[in-house]
Amino acid sequence: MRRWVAGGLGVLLVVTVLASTGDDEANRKPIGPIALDRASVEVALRAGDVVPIVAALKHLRGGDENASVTWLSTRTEEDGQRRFPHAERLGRWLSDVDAALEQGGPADPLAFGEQLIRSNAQGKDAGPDAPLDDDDRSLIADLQAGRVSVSRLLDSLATRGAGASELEVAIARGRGRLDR
Amino acid sequence: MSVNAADVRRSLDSIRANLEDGWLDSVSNQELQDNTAIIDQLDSQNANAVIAGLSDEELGKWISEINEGGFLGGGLDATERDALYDVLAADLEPDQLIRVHDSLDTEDQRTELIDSIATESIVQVRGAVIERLAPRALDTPTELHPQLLGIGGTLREVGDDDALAIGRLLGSLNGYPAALDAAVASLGDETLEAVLVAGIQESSLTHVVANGNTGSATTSVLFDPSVTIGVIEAATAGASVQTRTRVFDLASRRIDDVRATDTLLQPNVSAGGVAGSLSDALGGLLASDTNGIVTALESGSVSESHRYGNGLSSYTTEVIRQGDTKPLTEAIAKLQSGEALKADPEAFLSQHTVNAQGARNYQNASNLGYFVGAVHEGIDAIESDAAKQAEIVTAVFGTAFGVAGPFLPKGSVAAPVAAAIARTLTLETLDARADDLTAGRASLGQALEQLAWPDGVNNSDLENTFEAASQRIRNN
Repeated sequence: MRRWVAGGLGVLLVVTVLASTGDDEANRKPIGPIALDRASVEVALRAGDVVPIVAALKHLRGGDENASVTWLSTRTEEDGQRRFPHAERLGRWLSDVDAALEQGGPADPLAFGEQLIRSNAQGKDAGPDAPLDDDDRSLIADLQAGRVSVSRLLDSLATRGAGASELEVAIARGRGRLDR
Repeated sequence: MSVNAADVRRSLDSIRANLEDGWLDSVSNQELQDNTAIIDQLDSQNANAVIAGLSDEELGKWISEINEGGFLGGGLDATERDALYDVLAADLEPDQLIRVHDSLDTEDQRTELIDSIATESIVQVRGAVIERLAPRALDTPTELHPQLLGIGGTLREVGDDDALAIGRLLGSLNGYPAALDAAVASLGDETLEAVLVAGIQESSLTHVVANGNTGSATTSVLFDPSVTIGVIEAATAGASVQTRTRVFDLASRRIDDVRATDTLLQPNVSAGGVAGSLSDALGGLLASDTNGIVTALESGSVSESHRYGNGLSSYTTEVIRQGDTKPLTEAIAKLQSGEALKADPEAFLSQHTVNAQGARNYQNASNLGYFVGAVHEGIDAIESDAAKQAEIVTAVFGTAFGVAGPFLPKGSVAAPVAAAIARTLTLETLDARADDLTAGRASLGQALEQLAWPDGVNNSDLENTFEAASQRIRNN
């Protein structure tokens, strides 16, 4: 893992992941500035910089939406219990995001949220000017109507299309939200 | 049958002759009624060809003459206009109907024509008219009429006229599920929402009351939710899960629109009744396929935005506010024991599918958690005092045991619902959880989850699924 200080915003701490949690992840390519730990999430949120946040989101989801179900569904068995380490890791990151937001989020949550949605959408099927899909458009509408917080927005982008309830449980467990 | 060119030509000549003005020879009521009869005597294809054969100018002239009154006895009265609109609606194809619609001078007349289309046109034509109106349904979300009636007030109407027209036509598809599905599917979420916003027909009148050297503005807000309720009822009568879900979610949010007009500084005494009529209609829609709609909402299969339960929470909040929690009891029972209320809760909640990678999806357990999360949001929005929250919780579950209280539901819950709830919960448990909540030994979320989760179903995978879905709504 390497760290360096990014220019422009001065103290934005960014992280590039080469390998961390397992063989699958070790084989994935480095993906540039990425806010994977709580400190870098905090810095990126305060600076209103969506790039490292979206990079982390995509990294933890295992790529775009099509790849994510496969990635998040990777499972292990511990004492007969089915665990989903990638989904739990995503949950821990979302927990870091919530904690970082409590310390102070972006100055303009609306602009940040919209930029986040657009930036996240860019990697899907087309370039930056591609029209947003229905889900993204309704997210933006909810954002503008004040029905969506930044936390909820990130939760939505992170868990979208995950489909199986076992993955939601694993994400919730990673967030520390489950009693059991 | 094909167009008879000679008939069309003759009809056009007669109509044009009837519309000719001369010195002291303005178009008479009889001539206008004759024109109605000319169209009425033609079959649909020829009638359509006649209207298509009129230029925009000629059509405009005809329409403007309809409105003429006065000492020379021109114009058509309301009954005669309806007769003309009915004839046109029965015969014309969508493009010509839209031409007539757009040439009408006033909103009232356009509404009359739409009402005729809603009753006289075949359902395919109604659907096609909806498609043609849809691109402009977002054009005028609000309309201001300043200096109303010269009294200095300003009338503000919320909702686009074309969106309202679409709502009327959607309501007319009650009993035609396939046509309703196709029409709703042709509308994007933004447009369907505009339709349901327009369909509550919000209008506010603001005027300044002089008070010495200053003035104070007063605003009164009125609603007529009949068009939106018509759409909800059409979806209830028969539609796909997709249509029902979209209508449920977007119509539920209209409750918030209504409630937003009732504030401490500007009370709106009519808001409660309007919101109540919306929630009653929505309750009927939800009851028509509780598991289907909640599955679609929870899974986000229709729209990702549904997964966080905003629409459902607006509905549950209003149901509680109205003081009749019976629909919530019924929904919980169906989500525990299936639509027919006969399934064993453990077997029902254990049902699951497996994705291609082997991860399980316990949809029914998620549904129950999702709904309970929305009930939590409803109670939390209305009451922060734990003892009063416990009263509401007791009302939600206690109706199955005939428990009375401040939130006593109107009437009793149906016997099969009571029996289903009684299979999952005892009165002693209900009392104990309510006491825990009142005494601060349990949070509202904990109390609700313990009561909604069936006694005797001990499976941590299922319970975690239930809890995670509930928390998704509560942490929204």
